[in-house]
Amino acid sequence: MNNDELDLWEVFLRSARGIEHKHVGSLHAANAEHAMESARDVYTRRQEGISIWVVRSKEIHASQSEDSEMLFDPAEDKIYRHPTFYDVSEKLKL
Amino acid sequence: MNHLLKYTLRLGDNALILGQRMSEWCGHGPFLEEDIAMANSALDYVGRARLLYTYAASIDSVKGRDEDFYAFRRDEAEFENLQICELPNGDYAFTILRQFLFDHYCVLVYRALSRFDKPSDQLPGLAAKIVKESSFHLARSTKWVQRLGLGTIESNLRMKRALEELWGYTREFFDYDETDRSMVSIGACPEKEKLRFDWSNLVEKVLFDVSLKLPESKWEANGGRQGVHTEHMGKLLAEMQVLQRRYPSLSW
Amino acid sequence: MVKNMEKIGQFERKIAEEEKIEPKDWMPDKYRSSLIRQISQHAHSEVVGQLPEGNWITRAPTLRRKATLLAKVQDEAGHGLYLYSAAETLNTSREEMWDALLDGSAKYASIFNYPTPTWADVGAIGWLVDGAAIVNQISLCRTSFGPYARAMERICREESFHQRQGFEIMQTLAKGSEEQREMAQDALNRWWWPTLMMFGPHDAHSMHSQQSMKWKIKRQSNDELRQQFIDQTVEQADHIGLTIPDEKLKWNEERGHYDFGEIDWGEFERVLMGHGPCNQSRLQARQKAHEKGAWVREALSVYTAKEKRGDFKIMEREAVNE
Repeated sequence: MNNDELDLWEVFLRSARGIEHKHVGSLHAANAEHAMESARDVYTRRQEGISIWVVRSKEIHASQSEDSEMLFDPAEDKIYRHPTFYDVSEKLKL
Repeated sequence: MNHLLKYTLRLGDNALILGQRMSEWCGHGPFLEEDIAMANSALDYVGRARLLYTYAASIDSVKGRDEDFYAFRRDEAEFENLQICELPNGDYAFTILRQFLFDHYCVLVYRALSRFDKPSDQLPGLAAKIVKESSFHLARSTKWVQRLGLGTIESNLRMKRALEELWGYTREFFDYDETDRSMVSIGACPEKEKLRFDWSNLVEKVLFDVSLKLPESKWEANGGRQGVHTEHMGKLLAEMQVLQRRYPSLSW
Repeated sequence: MVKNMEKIGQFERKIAEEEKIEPKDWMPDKYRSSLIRQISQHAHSEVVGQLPEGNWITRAPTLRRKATLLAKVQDEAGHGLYLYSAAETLNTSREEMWDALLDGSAKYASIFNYPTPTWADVGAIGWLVDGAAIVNQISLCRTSFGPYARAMERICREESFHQRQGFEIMQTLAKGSEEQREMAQDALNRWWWPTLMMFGPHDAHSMHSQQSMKWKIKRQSNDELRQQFIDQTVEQADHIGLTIPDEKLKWNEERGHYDFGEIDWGEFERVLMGHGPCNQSRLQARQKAHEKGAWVREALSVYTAKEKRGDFKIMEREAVNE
């Protein structure tokens, strides 16, 4: 790697008030300020956002896909967490 | 030609000619993110020229003119942009430093224009839009002046050289004539000494902080406002206007 | 070994069930390397693709055309960036990919090795080259690798104006003076066949196609996509009164498609091997920009490191003490 290689950053945009930030892509930048500046030019050319988050890619900790059975399958049988599990009259506003 | 029209066209010429230079970077920037960012600023400048020329056409006593008339069918002596806009791009230090010097000038000039006390006119609204984009350009170019000024020995040296070359051209910002004075008198343009003071204050502070000394040369550019240009202008126009000159009065 | 078989089984099940593969998932080495090759080639094509049209930004005939062309060429840099980022999720770096482009070992779309001598070429590229790219890219929105599919969706969304921009230029020229009409026809004559070559060799001769189709990296074959492009473009050319330079072009009722003449595969090979009219100048332009930008990138890195260390605060204090 050359010494002029810049870090990779992930960019998140809020597209409108009241909506959460959503991952839109990545870019290379020297630091947070520079990432913010570039994110504006790279990812909001078409009014896609009203707020930007940037985070250094290596700061993101991701779950491993080989763990996904262990992590996520146990939720499968907890159907009582969903409203449709309960048997009540449709007429009532419940 | 009345002063308001002349003043508007001069601003349009500055925007078009510098925008033309900036657009030359598209596809040749130092890295991808910066290529995109510079093109964004260039688009702002070209867009600004279109707004100003379209407004100029609406107040021009000769009817039937439009943005393309001003851009493509006038000769060198009819362009009254400041000479700093037409200088070739040089290296990235030259490009960035020119942007910085000029962005700050734009913020001050357009801010005054946006407060122009004539509510029925469109011009203050256009100027207010331009102040917004210029403020962003200025923040961006200021940061780059710091990066290049304080980065490496080489980048600092390149910035020094760029400053030597550019400084004399900034004197033209304050070379007011009758048109400028008339705009000052209606409150649409900063007074010359006020502009000089505000501009120098910020510029000198930023340059001092990145250890760039102001050049000692006393040479000053002048004449752009009267249609007098450097040797570079003819070539720039020859390139920009080639199709309209070669095939006059066609639609494209 | 058993473990490996199991992983391959799982991977292939995901592909079969149209589940996307994501960067952290296990994947066969060959799948990874095919993707890196394809995505980086695609990215290189975008950034080299800036050059032929970029050639006309400073000479665009109206301010409206100048602004739209500049925006379009800028978008191409953006698309290159999205694609490099998608490839980087596969454990390669932009630097590595860029080096491969600059030393000539990586390929990019040969179409960009053709010159743009007239303004009509800008129209022809937007209409034909972007048109062909969109056909290909819409198909790639369904590619099996998640980051690639997402980059493609974004790119397709943004590119919708590119082709219309090009077609509008051609339409205006075709309706214009005799000289303008000739300019448009001449550009169509020059760009038509190279555009058809963009879809790659016939399916039977395509080196990477079969495996890529199996893994759903590619979703439609070269010949299918090429046919789709021809079918939709013929009508557009008719509409503006330009003639597609292929005497064999004829509607085939039975097939429900246009028949067309044979592509000059000799030319295809020559340009691919680096002997097209602009192979050298395109690569040189990219090398030159990279070399000229080296000190800028270095200054940026060094400045940021100094800033992080707090060097500039010390300077400020010294300045105050003076």
